[in-house]
This record gives sequence, structure tokens and C-alpha cells, in this order.
Amino acid sequence: MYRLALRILFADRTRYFTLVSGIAFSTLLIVQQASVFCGLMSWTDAILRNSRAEIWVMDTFLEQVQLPRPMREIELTRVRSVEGVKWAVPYFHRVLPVKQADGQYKMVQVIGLDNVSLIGAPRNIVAGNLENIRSPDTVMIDDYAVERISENFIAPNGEKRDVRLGDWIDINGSYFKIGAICDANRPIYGGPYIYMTYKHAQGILSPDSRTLAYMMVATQEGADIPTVVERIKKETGLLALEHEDFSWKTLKWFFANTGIPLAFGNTVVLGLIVGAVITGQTLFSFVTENSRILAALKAMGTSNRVLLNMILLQATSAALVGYGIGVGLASAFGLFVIPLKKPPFILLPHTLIIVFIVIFVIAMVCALLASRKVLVLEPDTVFRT
Amino acid sequence: MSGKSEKVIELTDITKSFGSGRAKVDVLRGIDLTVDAGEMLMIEGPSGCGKTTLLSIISGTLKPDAGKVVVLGKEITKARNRNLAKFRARHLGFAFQLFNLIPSISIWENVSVPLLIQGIKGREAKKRSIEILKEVGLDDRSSLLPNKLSGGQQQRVAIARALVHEPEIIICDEPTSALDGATGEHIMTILRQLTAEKNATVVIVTHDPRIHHFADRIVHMEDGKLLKS
Ligand SMILES: Nc1ncnc2c1ncn2[C@@H]1O[C@H](COP(=O)(O)OP(=O)(O)OP(=O)(O)O)[C@@H](O)[C@H]1O
Ligand SMILES: [Mg+2]
Repeated sequence: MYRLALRILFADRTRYFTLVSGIAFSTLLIVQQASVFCGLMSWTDAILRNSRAEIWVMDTFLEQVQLPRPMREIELTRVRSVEGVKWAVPYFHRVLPVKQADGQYKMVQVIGLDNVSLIGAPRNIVAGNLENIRSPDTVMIDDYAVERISENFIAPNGEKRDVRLGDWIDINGSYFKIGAICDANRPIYGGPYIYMTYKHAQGILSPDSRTLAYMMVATQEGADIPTVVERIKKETGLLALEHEDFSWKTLKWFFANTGIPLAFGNTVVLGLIVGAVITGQTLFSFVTENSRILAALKAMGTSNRVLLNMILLQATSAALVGYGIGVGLASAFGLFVIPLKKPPFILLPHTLIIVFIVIFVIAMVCALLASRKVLVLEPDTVFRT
Repeated sequence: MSGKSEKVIELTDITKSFGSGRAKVDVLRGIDLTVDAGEMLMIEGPSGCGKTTLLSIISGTLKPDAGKVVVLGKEITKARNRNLAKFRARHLGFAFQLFNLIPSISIWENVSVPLLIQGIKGREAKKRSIEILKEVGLDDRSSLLPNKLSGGQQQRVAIARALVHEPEIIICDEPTSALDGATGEHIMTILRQLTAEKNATVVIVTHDPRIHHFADRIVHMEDGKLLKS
């Protein structure tokens, strides 16, 4: 009987095609949106992932990593004296304009690293040498900065080309030479990263500006990190967070304060509705159009349970195929956009599992609703045409 | 079929009405009827007199308001729906006015449906389906789709389907009324012959007088009651 159910479904080409493409479309939309969303959210803590610290110390009222609230320099000494702290280094972070050849500005994120240790520099250097940034007026820019600045760059000899090592750029009115290029994680907004020493970074701003955005802290061997975090909070009145917690705090801020989750959520819900409507409608018309034959099967002694299973099986098989196609298309989309680096595409296994369950549940619910008609059908209706 | 009871179907004082209140229609008004084993019984009467309703009740696809229906010694009026479905699958074969073949599967697969319902599958089901198709003269068409056949041929397929699981009782509602005279005659000849061979009991509702001569007995129905013939 079940093989028969599938044969009947497959034989009805148009309807099978509609059912599968409805589910595939729905899956594609949801998986694609969810993956782009995950990608985008992965950009929110790019700063933290580029600079990795065991513990970050910041102003108590700080909301997320992209919105630093600089502290007084003196706090650095206080944090260093907390028991269990091995070292604490300053971290400068500020969005500043870079002047273009045409006089326009592009925003970049200037990161100032501890003068001595250069702790917090991205590890992946693609050109030049990190040590170069110790020299006066020398900075390291990331590959994204190369891309952005090159859009409108004119070399001293008047040639229009990409920026490269040795070129000079104007950051907020001061000139800096490019001494290294690194590959860093991209930010969700705020522009590319330019790394320099803390001292150089201070020099860009007016002398009375506060410059200590964060402190990067390492704990002594054998120290319990959460305990040290608690101690820093208690003894300094500042906020201390482990790397993961800071990422979370930032992510939560984006959920609560931006329309991004809502925008993606809307599309996902739309995908669900489209999928549910097409599936429901197709199964329903399938049952309605075949009601005479279903009644005949019923008269001939097919039980309600078997009929229900037949319809559930039809829905399940269409859902499986549609899901497969949808995930395939979404992955193809992902492979296509990943090299573009524009919308990051992160297809998590969680997404696949959740979408699978959701699609499956939708198909089941639609099949159950559609089969209601069959279940209440009196077998004697087969005699009444 | 149990040997001691020659009565395959026994209806006692069956009543059935549809609707309620003012719109209530008494369709069956006290029907008593027995059918013997191997008998071919025809029920005829004017349109709307309740023939199909009576047939539905005999076949256990509809429950009467009152009265007793005993089929093959089992009181089906008392049976639960699920058991009734099993009972029908096992002991009854159906042929309908509009054939009701499944258009998307082959002829032999259509014939095998009653076997599938009972859980007989695969080779066995195919073998038995082709065998019965041979008996209705359509084994050479067994892998075609139903719409490749004429109306008469489709009804022959339907009859093969009604017989494939060797039921004791065959239920037919207007089996010839969608067919022309000669084809109807041919269908009835086949049905008569095959059911006689298998000693099956046949109940046919019809208002096609051209096939009356196939019947062992004809009951006339009018206004919800059977008339003595
Ligand atoms: N499910 C139902 N609900 C309401 N009325 C019904 C129902 N089934 C049958 N009837 C009514 O019962 C009466 C008898 O119907 P039935 O189909 O048994 O007649 P019939 O003798 O088979 O007629 P025909 O020769 O036209 O097929 C008709 O008036 C019909 O409208
Ligand atoms: Mg009728």
C-alpha cells in the first residue's frame, strides 16, 4: 500500500513538482537567510577574535565592543595590582577618518596596541613585518583596508593603483606609512582595521582625550579565570569579561538594539508561510481530487490508519526531497558568495537540523490537516457520484 | 463461508433516514432480505427509492438506524469501524458504476489493491492479479495504464479487482449503466461465469433491464420498501 502511495504521488508529476519546489524554496530561503545571518553575527565580535585576550576590562556601562567608553590611564595600574593578574596592557580603539585622494573620507577603526609587547595584533601577517609599527609613523593595515583605501588612491607620482607597503595615508590629519598588511576578521560595521602602537594612536587625538578603551589581561598560571574576573570587578569597579562572555554581550546587544534579527526573522517566517501554504494547499487539493478513489479504497477495507500513513508518507517523501534540494541550492549559493566575502555565509549544522525539523513538522501538520478530509469520509460516498 | 448457513446475507427490519427535523427523509422503511450462497441477486427500482443506500448497508459501508445486518454469520451492525474495514477487505469485492480505478498505476497494480490491503504483496500479488486478468481476457494489457482501455475493458479490470482476493460476496452498483448494451452484456457474462465458478454471492443494484436475465432473483424496491416479486 505504501509503495502504491509513493507511486501515486510520483505519477502526479505537476503536483509532486509543486510540492517539492514549494518545500525546496522554503528550505532555501530559510537556510540561506539563517546562514547569512549567522555570518553577519559572526562579524559582530571581529575585534575580539582578532585580538584574543583571556580577560577584557572595560567601563562598567559599556554596551558592546564596537562602542568603547574610554577609561582613565590610572585604571591600568589598579588592574595590574589585582591578585592573579599576570599582565594587563592598554588597548586603543577609535573610529577615525582616512582622507582620500578626492578629499573625501573613509572611516577606519584604529587599534592601538601596547607599545612594548604589541599584544593583540592579528597573527596572520601577509606583507611586511609587525615589528615595523614600532618605527615612528608606521602602521599595519588589514586586507580589507587595502581594498577600501585602494578604491580611491593616487600614488605620489600621480599613478592610480592599489595601496601597498611604503605608501603614506592620512588618518585624522596625521600621516602614517604602511609598514605591514595583515589578514584580519572583518567587522560588522565601522570600517577596516588599522593597527599601530598605543603611543602613535594617542598622538592622533588631542592630548586631553581619554584613550584607554580596553585592557587586555592575562592571568597567572594556575589562577582560576572566573575568580580573577570577579576580583577585578570588585577591586576596581570596572567591568571584566572573559572573551566568550564579551562576544555574547556584544551579540546580545545586536539582537536587542538593531533590526537585523527582525529583518532576517521576517524573511524566515515568510519562507515558512510560503512553504506551509504550498504544501498544505497541494496536499489538500490532492486529497480532494482523489476523494472518490480514496473512498473506494476505504470501502474496499483500507483502514483510516493506513490511509493516514499513506498521506503522511507522501508528505514526508516530498519534504525530504524538497529539503535536500533546498539545502543543495543554499549551499551552492554559499559557495558562490563566500569568495566575494560580502555577506558572510556560515551554514551551521544547527541550522540544518533545526530547519529539517521545522520543514518536517510543517509537512506533517499539512498532511494531518489534509487527511482529516479522508478520515471523516464515509466509505459509502463511493457509491454516490 | 460456514457450511451450515446457506444464508450469506440476512437483513431484518432495516430502517435508515437522512437529515433531521423537517428535512428528514426516510430512505429505508423496514427492509427484510436474505441472500443465499452463490446467488446472484438484483435490486431494481426507480431512482431515489433507496437502492444504493441499501447496498451500502449490506456492504457494511453505512450503518442503518435500526435493524440487524448479518453477513456470513457475523452481525456487522454491531462491529466497530476498524473491524468492519477488515471484514470488508477480506470477504467483500466491489465494482462501481464509474470503475474507480487509480489512473496513475498499471492495470495489474489496480487489480492487486485488495491483496495489498490485506497485506499480500510482491510476486504473489502480481501472480494472482495477472491470473484473474487472464480470466477477464485482459492479461495482455496488464502493464498499461487504465486510461488506455475502453469503458468496458476498465469495468472488466474492476471486476478482476473485485474478484482477485476471492471474496465470498461481490457488491456491484450499476455496473453496466456507464456502458453500451453489448458491452454491458459482455461484462455480465464474465461476472456471471466467474462468480458461478467460485460460488460467490453477488448483489447488484441496477436499473438496466437489459441485464435482468442474468439474475437468479430480482427484488423490486419502491419508496424505501421491497415489493414481493
Ligand atoms: N448521505 C445522504 N444524505 C442525505 N440524503 C441522502 C444521502 N444518501 C442518500 N440520500 C437520499 O436518499 C434517497 C435514496 O438515495 P439512493 O442513492 O439510495 O437511491 P437510489 O435508489 O440508489 O437512486 P439512483 O437509482 O438514482 O441511484 C435519495 O433521496 C437521496 O437524496
Ligand atoms: Mg443509486
